[in-house]
Amino acid sequence: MGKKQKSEHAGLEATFIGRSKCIKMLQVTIKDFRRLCILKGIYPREPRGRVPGKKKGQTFYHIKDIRAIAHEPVLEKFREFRSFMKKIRRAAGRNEKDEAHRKNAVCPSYTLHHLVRERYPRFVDAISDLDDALTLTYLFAALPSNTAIKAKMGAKAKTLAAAWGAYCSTAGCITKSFISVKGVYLEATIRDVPIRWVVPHSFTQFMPEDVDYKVMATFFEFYETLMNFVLFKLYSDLGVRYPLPEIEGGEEVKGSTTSILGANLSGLTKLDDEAVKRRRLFAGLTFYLSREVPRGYLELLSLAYGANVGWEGANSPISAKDPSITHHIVDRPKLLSSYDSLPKSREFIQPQWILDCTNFMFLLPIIKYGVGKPLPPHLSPWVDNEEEGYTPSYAIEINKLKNGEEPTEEVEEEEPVDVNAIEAEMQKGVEESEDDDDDDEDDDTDDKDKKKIKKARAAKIRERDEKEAHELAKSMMGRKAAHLYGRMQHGIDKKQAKVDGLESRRREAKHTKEKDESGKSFGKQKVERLKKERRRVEDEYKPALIGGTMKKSKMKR
Amino acid sequence: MNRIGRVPLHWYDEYDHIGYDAHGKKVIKTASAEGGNLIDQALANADNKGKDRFMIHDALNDKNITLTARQLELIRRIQGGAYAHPEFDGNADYIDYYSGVNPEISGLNSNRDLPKAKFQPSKWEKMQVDDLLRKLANGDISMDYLTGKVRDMNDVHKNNKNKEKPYMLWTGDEEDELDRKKGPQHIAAPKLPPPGHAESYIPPDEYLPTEEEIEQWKDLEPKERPHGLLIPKKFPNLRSVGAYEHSVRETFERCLDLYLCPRIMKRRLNIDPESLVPKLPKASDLRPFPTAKCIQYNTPYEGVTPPIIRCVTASPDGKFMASGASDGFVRLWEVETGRLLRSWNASKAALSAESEAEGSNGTEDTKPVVCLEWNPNPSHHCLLAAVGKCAVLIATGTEGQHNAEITAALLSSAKSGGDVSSAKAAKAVQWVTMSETETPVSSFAGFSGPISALRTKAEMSKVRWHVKGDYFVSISPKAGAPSVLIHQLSKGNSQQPFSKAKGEAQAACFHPNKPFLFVASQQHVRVYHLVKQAMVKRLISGCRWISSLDIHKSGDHLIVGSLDRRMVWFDLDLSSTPYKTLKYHERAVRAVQFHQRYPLMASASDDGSVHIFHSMVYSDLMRNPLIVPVKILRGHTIQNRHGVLTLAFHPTQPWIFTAGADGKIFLYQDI
Repeated sequence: MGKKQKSEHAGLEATFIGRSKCIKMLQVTIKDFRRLCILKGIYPREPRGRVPGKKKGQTFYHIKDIRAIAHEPVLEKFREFRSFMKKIRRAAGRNEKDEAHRKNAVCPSYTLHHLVRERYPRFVDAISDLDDALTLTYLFAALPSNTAIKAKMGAKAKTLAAAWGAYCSTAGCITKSFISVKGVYLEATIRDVPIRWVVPHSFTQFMPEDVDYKVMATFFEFYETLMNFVLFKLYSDLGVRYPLPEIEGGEEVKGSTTSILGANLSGLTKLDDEAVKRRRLFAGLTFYLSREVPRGYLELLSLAYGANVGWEGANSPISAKDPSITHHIVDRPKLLSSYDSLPKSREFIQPQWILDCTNFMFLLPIIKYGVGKPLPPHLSPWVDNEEEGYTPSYAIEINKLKNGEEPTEEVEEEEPVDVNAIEAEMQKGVEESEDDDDDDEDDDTDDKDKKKIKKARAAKIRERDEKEAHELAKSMMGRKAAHLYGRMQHGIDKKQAKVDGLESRRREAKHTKEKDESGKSFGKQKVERLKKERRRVEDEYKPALIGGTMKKSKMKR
Repeated sequence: MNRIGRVPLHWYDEYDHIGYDAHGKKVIKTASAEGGNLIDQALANADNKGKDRFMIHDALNDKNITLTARQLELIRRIQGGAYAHPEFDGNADYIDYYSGVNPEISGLNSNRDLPKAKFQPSKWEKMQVDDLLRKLANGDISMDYLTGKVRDMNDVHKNNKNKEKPYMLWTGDEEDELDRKKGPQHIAAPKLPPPGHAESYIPPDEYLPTEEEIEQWKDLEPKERPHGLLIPKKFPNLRSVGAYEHSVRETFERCLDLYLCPRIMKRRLNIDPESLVPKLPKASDLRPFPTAKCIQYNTPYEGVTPPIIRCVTASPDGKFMASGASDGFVRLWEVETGRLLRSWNASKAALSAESEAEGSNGTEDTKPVVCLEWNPNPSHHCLLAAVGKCAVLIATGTEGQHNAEITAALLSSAKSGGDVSSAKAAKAVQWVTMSETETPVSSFAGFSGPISALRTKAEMSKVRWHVKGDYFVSISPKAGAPSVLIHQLSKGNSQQPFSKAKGEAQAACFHPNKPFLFVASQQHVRVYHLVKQAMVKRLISGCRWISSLDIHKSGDHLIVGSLDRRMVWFDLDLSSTPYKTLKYHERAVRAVQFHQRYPLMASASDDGSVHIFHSMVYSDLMRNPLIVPVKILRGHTIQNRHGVLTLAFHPTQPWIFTAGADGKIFLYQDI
């Protein structure tokens, strides 16, 4: 028998520590502990092996993580700050305002750059953990300030977001984009690391009351430092001074980039092959963003893919009447009459066209994206259709277009092979195989057909044999392997069921669409119905309205 | 200078010189040296009084000397009777030279060796001061810091600029640092999954949930819903998409997950599931084995449902096959043609034997034939059927010219009623003779039909012949101690080997060439040595309820079928635990059997299937037996949750007879 291990030398107690014990050990308040954990990136760990019943459900921290906190300079600062606050409070309590002011001047403060270095020893590490930082930054840039989120924070978030956007558009590293209900997802690939973030739709965000904004603010505190250093590195690799000059971080840069900066920097940057390829997509095109179109991400995206961008508003490098404009991005039910005076060399399209083009890396025909037209489905670029086993019809259509085939509206239905007939024949075949052979010789009317059937039968038999052999082999699996195999099959079946559900729904939807009279879509029918109604109303009021507003429509008719 | 020495001056009064100088020349008297000049002198002194000059005449050298102020003071002090020198302190402080109060001052210890540090300025202090001065010059510290008003210059810096300036944090030499990093391994938080098509603002129509689904989701927790808080919705265009109401909450929850969720490194198994399936030798290489259903034996019956066939058995020469059904009949079939040759009412025979003993109701309902075994000795043509409480011995009447007499001799003592010698066994079993005889199948035999019934205390479930065809064992599970009985046909004798029942006996069989008896209780198989009358081994099956067992013809391997779907293979040389436990049937295993000639093994189950295995046993002890499933025979239907109840291999061909609850008997052959 080996030597008996003492409990504190090995096992759970030696490696893990509960939260309340941590707090006791570090002698901090729970608030400070939370902040420390967030800033230092310390998280509970699930111990391997069995946890004694008494300690089940407890959150465990690794004891070495906690020891690392104990030596943290920030912790010392927290303590200093506490005693500082005591002094201030005492002075304020005694109504010694001057004393309080004097003391306030030397308020202890801390820096976090050592934590950035500690948590991300390599630059790649920092880059690959940027998703959450960016999402939170863009969210903070869109949030109104409150007690926890100071106005300063919002401004900082906006500046950071602007700087990040400017970098992405300059380096041309945006690879994927997607308008979701939740916001606009963007993906940039920097040093082969994909970074995905969400830009909220630019409307007033709903602020739930039961959310602890302080936690988010603490996270932002760290992310701000991280972003600053990452941006510094990225920009200095480009050869640009960071922080960007104050004008760039001014008022109107919320989640946006300025073309001016992009134009200045584009000469400096060395793009990798992929980025050059991406740049070629919109090369030579000029987009003009209408007032109602969200400028931020569309501008960023267009610039990243090599287009020139102008917008309706201040600082636009291109005016609305510029003849070089090829695409005018509009999101209105119908075109304004003032657009009639613009040069005719441009197309009016809806913003989704830009995103779909960039995702498929192909300039899509603009027919489906015209103003006022019902848009085709917007597909997520992250879904691997092959892996998923299901490809939406619009993706098939676009792939066909890309391959140079004619786009057909209807996806051809495969004619189901008459499997049942063969199977029935097969069963007969097994039982009376000898008879069957005789039959074959008897009628030699269509030899080819017979051969075909024979071939199909042979294939069927082979398939069945293989299936049986597989089943037999399965029966020889060990208990563990069988369990694992069952689990895996369950997963596969579940996925297949999902795909089947989608397919059946698609078929159903198509069926109902066909059923609709004259093959018109639901939207078209609605438009038609409304038109009819309007005509009726107009007819009713015709005698009353002579001249006036109705004149134009009358003439048209 | 006058060099006359100490001679009175008045000696020279009458001369006009007053002496001689160093060269011997006369020093001539000046006019002032004449007497009467004293008045002039006094007058001159009176004139000079204010100017602090006092002149006297040096008569020897004949010149005027002006006295300095100090000389005058000295003269004054001497005249006044004081100490001549003004700096002389007549009452100086007392210095205690001898008590050693201050050795430094006293000078008494001044010759002691002092350490160098005592009289040299500190280098350390110099360094510190230099450092501070440098910092001060650089602007890193301020006078506030030096005077202790500020404890940390970072605070001052922060107040000055209020943010830290970024710098190049990563310089590219981090890889080495990574190796040096200590502490627990970092587990990166998993990234949020990317959005799917359903989260689009215009998803394809098939991704939109139906109204019923939305209703269902309302009852679920957000985490259990397929898209979380989001309900996929189709917007007509971009301008109609508003702010997402849960965006703050979702980001907050992500934050919570990042710092509150326990993390663990989980290795994801990334294997092809098919790689788990063992690679077996091809079944076609392991021929022959039964593959196709070839002959069906139709049992005649009255009523709606055919009788359940509980047991089948084949004659050792392979020409005949017998089946026992729930209607109490034992039927004799010709294998090749499927013709029903004879049928005997074993139930009637058994009931008559039972009623004879009890003397009570003779008209009871029929008893099913539970077990049927053909005598394995090719020269003995008789059947053994377990019906009710009896084991009924039936002469088949299939013998040929040569073995008609042998069979008759064997059965003669049974026909005469047997004589059970041991008193213990006599209590448990009685041999009851049957009188009725029928015409035999072959013309050589004297008789056919039930000859004798061995009546026991309780319902009999199994009978099993010894290989030589003389002894057989019967099992009546509920009978207690005499549940296992061994009978000898040639002598009409019975023995009760165990005086105490160990568990409820389920099945038994003889070792093919050694005096061993295997008795299966519900969970164990016990091996007894019949000569030594001792238990040799107890095999632990791991099953809950053993239904059947069979021994390989080599006598070294045993298979056990159980009602909890298992088929267990024991290598008797190896250990008392299973060599292999297979669980492939979906329902209870009813029967297992080895083929006598071919390396085949089969199991029948309530799921309606019969699995055929290639089971090669090597004489080389180092090689494990090869067990390969080769065929699943399906054809029986399931009736009242009973599927295939019995099977029997053909003794000489790789064929198998199966029969089940659907009342059908099939012969599968290898095609």
